[in-house]
Amino acid sequence: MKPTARLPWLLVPAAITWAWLATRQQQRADRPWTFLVSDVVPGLVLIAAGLTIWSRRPQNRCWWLLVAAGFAWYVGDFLQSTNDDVVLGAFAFGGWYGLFVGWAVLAFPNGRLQHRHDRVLVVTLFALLAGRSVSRLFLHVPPDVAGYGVQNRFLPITDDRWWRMVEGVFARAYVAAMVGVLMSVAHRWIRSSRPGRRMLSAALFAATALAAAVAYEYATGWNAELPGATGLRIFYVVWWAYAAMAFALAVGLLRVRRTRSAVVDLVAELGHDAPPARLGDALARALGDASLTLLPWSAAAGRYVDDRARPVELPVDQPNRAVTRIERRGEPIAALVHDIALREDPGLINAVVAAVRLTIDNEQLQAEIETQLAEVAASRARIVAAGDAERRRIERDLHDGAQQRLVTIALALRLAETRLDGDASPGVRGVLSQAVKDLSEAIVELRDLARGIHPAILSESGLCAALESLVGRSPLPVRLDIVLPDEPPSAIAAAAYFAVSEALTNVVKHANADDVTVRVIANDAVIRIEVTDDGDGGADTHAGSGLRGVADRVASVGGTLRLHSPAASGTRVEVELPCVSP
Amino acid sequence: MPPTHTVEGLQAARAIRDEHGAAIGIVLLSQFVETRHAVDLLADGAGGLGYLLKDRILDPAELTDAIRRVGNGGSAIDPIVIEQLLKRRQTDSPLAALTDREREVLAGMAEGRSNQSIAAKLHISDKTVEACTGRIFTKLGLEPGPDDHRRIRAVLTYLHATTNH
Repeated sequence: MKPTARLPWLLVPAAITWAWLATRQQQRADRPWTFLVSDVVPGLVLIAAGLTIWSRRPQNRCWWLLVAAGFAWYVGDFLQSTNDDVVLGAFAFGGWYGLFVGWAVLAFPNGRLQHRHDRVLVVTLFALLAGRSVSRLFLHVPPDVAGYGVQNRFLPITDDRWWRMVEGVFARAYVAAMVGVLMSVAHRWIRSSRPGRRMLSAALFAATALAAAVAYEYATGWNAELPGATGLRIFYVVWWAYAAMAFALAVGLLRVRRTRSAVVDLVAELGHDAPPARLGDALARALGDASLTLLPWSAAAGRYVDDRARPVELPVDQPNRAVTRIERRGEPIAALVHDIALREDPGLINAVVAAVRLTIDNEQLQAEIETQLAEVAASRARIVAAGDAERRRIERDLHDGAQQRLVTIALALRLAETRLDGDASPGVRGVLSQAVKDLSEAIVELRDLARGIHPAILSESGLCAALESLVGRSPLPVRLDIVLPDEPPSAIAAAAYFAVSEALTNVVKHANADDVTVRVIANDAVIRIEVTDDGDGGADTHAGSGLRGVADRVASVGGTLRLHSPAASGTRVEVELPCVSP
Repeated sequence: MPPTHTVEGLQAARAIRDEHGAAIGIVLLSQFVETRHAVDLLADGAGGLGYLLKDRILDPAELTDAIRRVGNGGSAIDPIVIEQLLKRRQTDSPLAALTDREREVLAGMAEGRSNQSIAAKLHISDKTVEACTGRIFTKLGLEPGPDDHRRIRAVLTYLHATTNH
């Protein structure tokens, strides 16, 4: 905040001092405390309302109108001063707060007078008050109103007719002008749509209070400045009406702000998956403008489109309708067609535009992320599929190459052994025999290795046979329940096979289990696999890379892996796989 | 075996069997032995079939024994197949009622061995084997048969059926 922007806060001590001085004058007149409170409160409320508006919306001119009204409020109190000049000044300039209050009501909510007749009203009020001030300064004040000790010291006129005439004209015209203020606000209110009315209702209330207070004041006692019991009652009613009015204006302006934050809250709450149609409806509800429509920009069509993607023309030159275009870096995003009354609060429109931009931005980001995610998922599936193909190739190479060769060599050694004919030393026979034995073990190890890389039976005879074989080779007795009407695609069969394989390996290695069950149940859409044991539990997908890798493989075909492994209560691995490749 | 390096061997065996019946004995040597393939091969009922791991050729005595059995219309199933079948679900099947010795004899029968062959392998007398087979058949509720091949088929089918359901 700039240093000059803090200046209005200096008005706080000024206002308090001013109000205190005014009250001191009234105390001199021996007023009851109810009178003092009723006198001091409306002025302070006006100033407080003005400063509140300034602090929230400094560019709104309503604030200084209300502050000026507040300061003007206390001028009349100086009628009780002991200084004759001060008394005359107070008498002449006592009612000017009416101008500022009426102006503020007309300029509500954005601080500008929008219509010609409003400007005429303000000028009229000014002229009336100025005329009365001049009259009170220079014309002869009759003695019956001069209880304050006012006497004209400028012009030697003794006839009070002129003065009475000016006061009479002023009273009637002033009441009429205030009724005019009320009618202007009421006219605006009636012509507004719901959002406009909601905004103007504070001004309507204030204008009604103002007109009623002024009419009451001047109809009953315009010339009753001498406070008897009736005069006191008039003071009370009128003063509290002013306080209520100032309060209503401040609350009304701040409520506009609340509507703005309601819009932002609403959009935040909508989240990022709001389609434009839903966003438009939500904005219409939040702003109370049922006619509001949000038309997204279609870059493909180069037009604004409706919620069914049909191109639409933006309405132009329609009474009461306004179009707000929403752009980002010069590119159109959407257009908002709404009631023109929403324009009366530019801040509100700015909030809506920001919110819509944010939401649509989010939506586009979301779409981009989804596209990227789909690409990543597809590439992950391709990587796994390529890995599987490579595994198959390696298995086949081992089968056709190394293993055949080892068997051939072992056979050659065995042949050599039989052809020794007893003429070789026993050592040679022993060496050959041991070599064949070692080769046999090597062949077995290589076979197990090849099967671990890719089980040939999986591609030969399918998942069911492969699982039977897997279970058969497990060192633990395993119960196998399998219902598999159709052979799944190879990527899914591989995921299922390796999931069961890894789960069984873990059971054998870690679980210390007696009872192991593998259950495979498939329907048209999904294959459910459960590997359950009654062992130690406490398994964790993060602890070892085995299940982690299986979970990744399962995810690559669009499946899920869940692990239930509470300590000492066995382990259950649940895998769900789709029956079709993603 | 080429061209697809998968189950051409099994298909060839079936084709020979379909064309020539049991007149030609077949010994199938495979890189892997799977129980499912063994049961499939023996499903047609006739004898003269062998299904062994490829590296069994490194034990000439066992291999020639197996070939002779197949040549005589019998069967020769790799011990690994039998081991896998016997191992599964021992607890709640009639197999659990067998003694270790009976289990060994059952494995020998399932491999397709004659009583003499079993006796020689286990270093026990023929009489003991005969007594064992009788008890096994009673415990499993199978009809005892004189024919080695029919015997093995009954045992294999039994094992396969009880271990998978």
